[in-house]
Amino acid sequence: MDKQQPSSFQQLEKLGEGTYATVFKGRNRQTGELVALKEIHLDSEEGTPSTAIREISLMKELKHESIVSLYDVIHTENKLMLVFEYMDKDLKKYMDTRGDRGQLDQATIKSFMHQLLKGIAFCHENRVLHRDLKPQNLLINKKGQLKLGDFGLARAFGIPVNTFSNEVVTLWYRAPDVLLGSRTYNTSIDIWSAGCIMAELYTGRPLFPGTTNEDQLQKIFRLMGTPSERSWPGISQLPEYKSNFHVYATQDLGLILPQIDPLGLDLLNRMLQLRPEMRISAHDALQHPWFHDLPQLQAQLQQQQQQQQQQMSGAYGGMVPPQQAY
Amino acid sequence: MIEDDFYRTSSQYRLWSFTTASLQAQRATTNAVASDRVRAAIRRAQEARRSATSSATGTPVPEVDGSTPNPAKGDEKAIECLTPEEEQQTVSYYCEQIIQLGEAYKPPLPTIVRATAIQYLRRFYLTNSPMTYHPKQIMPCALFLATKTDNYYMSLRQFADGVPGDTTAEDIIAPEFLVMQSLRFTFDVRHPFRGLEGGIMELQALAAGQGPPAPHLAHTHTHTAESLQRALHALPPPPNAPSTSTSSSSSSSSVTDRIARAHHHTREILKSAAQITDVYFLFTPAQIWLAALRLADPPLAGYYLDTKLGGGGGPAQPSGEATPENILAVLRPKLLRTLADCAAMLQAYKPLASDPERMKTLRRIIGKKLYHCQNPEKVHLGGAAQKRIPAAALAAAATTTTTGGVDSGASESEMERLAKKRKLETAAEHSGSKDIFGGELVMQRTKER
Repeated sequence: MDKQQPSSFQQLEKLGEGTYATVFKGRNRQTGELVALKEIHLDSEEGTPSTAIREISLMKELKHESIVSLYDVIHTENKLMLVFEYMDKDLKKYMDTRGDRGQLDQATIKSFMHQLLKGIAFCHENRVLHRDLKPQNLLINKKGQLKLGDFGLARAFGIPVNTFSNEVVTLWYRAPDVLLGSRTYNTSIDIWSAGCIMAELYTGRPLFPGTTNEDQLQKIFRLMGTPSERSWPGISQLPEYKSNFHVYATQDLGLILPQIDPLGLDLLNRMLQLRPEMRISAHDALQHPWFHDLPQLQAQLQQQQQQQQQQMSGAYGGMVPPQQAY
Repeated sequence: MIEDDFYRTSSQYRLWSFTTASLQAQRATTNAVASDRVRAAIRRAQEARRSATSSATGTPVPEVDGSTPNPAKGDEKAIECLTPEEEQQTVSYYCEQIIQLGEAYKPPLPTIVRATAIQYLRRFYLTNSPMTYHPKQIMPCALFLATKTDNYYMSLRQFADGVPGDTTAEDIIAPEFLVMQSLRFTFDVRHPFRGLEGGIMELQALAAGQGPPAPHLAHTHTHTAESLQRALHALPPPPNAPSTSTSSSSSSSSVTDRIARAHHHTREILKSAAQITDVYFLFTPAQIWLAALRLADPPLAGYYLDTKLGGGGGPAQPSGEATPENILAVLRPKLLRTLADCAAMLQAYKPLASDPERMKTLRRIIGKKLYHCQNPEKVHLGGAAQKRIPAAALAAAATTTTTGGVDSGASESEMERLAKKRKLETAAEHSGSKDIFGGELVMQRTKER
């Protein structure tokens, strides 16, 4: 089988197993450029898997600096290979290796959140929902860039948005409306995920690490307060709504995130609104005053990174931890 | 960014939009290249046959009816290839077949899936000729691929059951790589349906007095929600309106009905004429649905445009200032010309099946001419005897076809290959009459004689 490998790329070590594919590190033989090779198996009865088709389809349309680039599609006798831009690691691994027990510094958090929201805003402007945002699907490179990856679950939306499957988005980052069984969700589900990720950047731990659908809802309500028909008109009509939900009062997020500044807390609260209509849009979030000092912070960050890169260059030795988010 | 800017980043705009001239040139090139390859391939097949005459019973590749071919007649000058126009008619026929086939499923395949499949087929045949790959083989594959891209889950087995004839599941996905590659891995088709839904919602809001004037026109104070509502209710009836509806044109329900009728009629145009003509290659989705609405209800479409463009207005002011009025005054005639061109193209469409004369011509083209100029080296993409052929191998085969080097005589393996193809083709000929995508026309032609 190996001789069928497209000769233009040298296949290096395995980076991870994706949802429907294996990802390898690769090198363009001509340019020496590193790439990620996502190998899709075609041994199924159905030809090319529809997840692969949809991912290719979306990636061909979504060209943006905050979205991982699809360079090429190559096929051999029994597999399809997607050639992606190479990213060093996913956000989860980045936090594990970089942060102080997973916590990141303010400047990095702000920069990552800005890039994340830019990527989300671009998807939403192009009428694409990502639906599966989580640290493992956000990719980081040595330049401090963050990009959205793994569009295997993403889908285009139009008017009206309904009859979506509610079996999407990893439990921990899943919006309460989806957990309550809403099938008419929209762009706001990606914003909820972004809010969960923002809190995690501060603490190094997932904000709502639920084990089941019910447990997930309970963890959310315990912190954000249990919604009612008064705070969320129409909630009692949702399939998974129970009139006997334990009633929690709303907690102050600032108490569990002592490092966060008031402006950051304000933005986070706007993203983590239980009621989907109340959640801030990606476009508006980017205009939030919390981001106003980003240019100054980024200048500082660049200096830091240069120093770190000099320190790291000796120890790094080309070893890259596995990743699986392409 | 505005909607137009988003559209310009789409693959549909970047890769699949043309001018009339560039579209024609593309088709002419594809036809010329394919014709050369067909002639070379048929010549090679004939030479292979001649050099292998020891087996006296060899069935000729391009001949039909089992008539004994005259070897002298079979030289390359006699090979008549399809013209670009004939290729286009052939593709159009199979596009209409997609609509039919989609209708035959229970429940019928969604309009959007069928429309996507039709655009796949049309895009595929911009760089491939029906002489190289017969549309009857590509069409089911394009439709199945469209079910994947448009989130209409269906197993291959389930899909294959709906395809009439003896097309197997393996036949359907055999050309999948080839199709994906020819589509340049861009599967996202921007249809005019979504824009139409939005426009209809806007018209309904305007009819209810809830349509605010366009933001760029708000400052002129010539439009208010009330004045827009009054203007909508005062519109002259569409020329093709049934007489009963004109009597009560002032009631609000009749305006709602009128919008609903225009909606329905426009959708019908988008489902048929917009799919089978070249409008997707030449116009944007917004231009297409607006042009279709103009055909469905001209006064209503004119009114809708006025809400965006600020009414008839005079010519641009000589000052040349970039005021909204001046920009719109320049834009308006340009847009109307474009819409008129698009509408003319949509209006000229007539379904092939409704036109006996053209069907007769088509039967001659597909049933006879295409049969004789089908590239013998590309006849079988897959099926029982052959597992899925990777497009890479097909591409390699195409390269050897053009670069030649085998003129002096076919290699042993190639002769084997051709012999196998002949055998398969004979089998296909027998099964042809059961296959609606290929057989029907041939069958009807035989009956006619």
